[in-house]
Order: sequence, then C-alpha cells, then structure tokens
Amino acid sequence: MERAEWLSQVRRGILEYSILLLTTKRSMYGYELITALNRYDVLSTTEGTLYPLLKRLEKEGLVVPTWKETTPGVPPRKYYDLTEKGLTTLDMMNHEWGCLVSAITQIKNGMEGSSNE
Amino acid sequence: MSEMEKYLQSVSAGLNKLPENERNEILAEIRNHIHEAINRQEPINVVIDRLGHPLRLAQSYANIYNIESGNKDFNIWRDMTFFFSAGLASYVVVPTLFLMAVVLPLTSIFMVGYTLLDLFIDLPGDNLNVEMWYGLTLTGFPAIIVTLVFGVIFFIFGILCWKLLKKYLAFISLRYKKFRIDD
Repeated sequence: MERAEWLSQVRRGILEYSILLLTTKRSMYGYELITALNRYDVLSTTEGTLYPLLKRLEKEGLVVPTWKETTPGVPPRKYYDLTEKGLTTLDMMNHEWGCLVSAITQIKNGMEGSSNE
Repeated sequence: MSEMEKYLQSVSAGLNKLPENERNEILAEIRNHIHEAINRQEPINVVIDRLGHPLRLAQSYANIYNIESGNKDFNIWRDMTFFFSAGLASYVVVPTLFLMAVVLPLTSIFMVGYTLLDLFIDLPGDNLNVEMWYGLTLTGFPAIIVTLVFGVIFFIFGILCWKLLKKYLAFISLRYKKFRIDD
C-alpha cells in the first residue's frame, strides 16, 4: 500500500482528535491550527480539508467560534474553543486512543491473546 | 479583480444553496486565512492552491450542510410519503409478482409436459382441444404447437416476473437505505 493512501485512511479520525487537543489549551484560529498540524509531517493537511472539518466540528457542537478583530484592515479572525460536549468527546477519544495504542503494542509484542479489554 | 476576490467569488457561487449568513461566515474565514498567509509572506498562488479548487472546497462545505439539513417536519413528511407509497405499491406489486413467478412456470410445465406425454402414451381425458378466440377450436397437431408456444411464453413471463420482483425489492431497499443514511 502506498504511504500516502494509508496515511490518508489513518488520518481521517486523527485529524479531528488533533484539532480538539489543540483547542484545549487555548483559543485557536484556522491559520494557527494548520501551522500547528503541519509541524508534524504525519499530521500535515491542507486548508481545503481543515476548514470544512472545522465547520463540521462547529456544527456538531464540539467547538464554538468567536470572531475577533486584530489589526485594522485585516478581516477578523475566527477563534475556536472547545465546548463541554467537545471536552466529553475528547475524553472519550483520549481513552480510546490509549486502548488503540496498547492494543497495537500488544499485537506487535506477540501477546494477542492476553488483552484485558 | 484580485486573485483572492476571484477565488472567493467562485467559492461563494458554489455555496449558493446555503443561507446567506452561513455563506458569508465561511467566506469571511477564508478571507482571513488568505490575509494571514499573505502577511507571513506566503505567495498568493500557493495559498490558493492549498485551499483547493473553489468548487471542491464549496462542495466539502455543502456536504456538511446536507448532513445537517435536519428539518424534522420535512423529514417526517418525507418518511411518511415514502412508507405510504412504497407500502401501498408493495402491497400490490410483491404478491402479484410472486404469484405470477410461481404459477406461470408451473402452469407452463404442466401444459407442455401433459401435451408431450400425451403424444406417446394415451393419457386419461379428452383429446387435446385448444379453445381459441372467435369460437375457433384447434385439435391435433396445431393444438400441440399452440400449447407448446403458450407454454414457453408462460414460462418466460414467469421468469421475468421473478426477476422483476427481485429488482423491485432491491430498488425499495436501496431507497430505504439511502434516506436512512441521509439522516
């Protein structure tokens, strides 16, 4: 399987997870999120993917936007914050992510049968 | 018109089905993004390239709204219309097709089988008489031919009914699945 094809399959859910994680610490706007994600090669994504995804997270009520004026003449920024619902979802994702990593680790170590899950 | 305005206008055109305030909000965010990028010395063509084809970007947004277009009253009417019409149609179509699919081939087999057997051994009952229209009655060889022809026609028709039934059921199932997922 091609690296790009496999990554795009794996990344589908991880991108949402990453965005929720990034917005926990502080309010983030789209350009910041893209820059933060692109710091990691495996997470790097395009704007054409990120912005509609943000809209979906907003519609699902996981993040809430706030418009803020910055410098005059520059269009206002749309900052995103995690909502209560977003926090609950993130907790779930953190838990499942842990399970996922431990499952893969166990398989790699050849202990398939000994899982407690 | 600047490259940015051209791009935004294309996105806007792709979002024409969205409510105006939603569309303006999306455009404002993209407008800000392009400004942020340009302020950091990124070339406009690279920025626009990364946003992707304007209609594709618009489509990605539109997909979200299609999923979200959950106007409950409308869905209730749509569901009711679907179940009522599909249910009513199925009530007639399904038993009719099934009955035809079973009865026609059986009749055909009986007709043809009896006629062919009768050629070799004298089966009980009268000699073969086929009542045609306008009071015309066929006997003997023409009667056998007519019986065989109609037997084959019945058989083919029965198979067609069976296929049609399968198609109808597949069609209804697909329709059902389709709008279940849409919700």
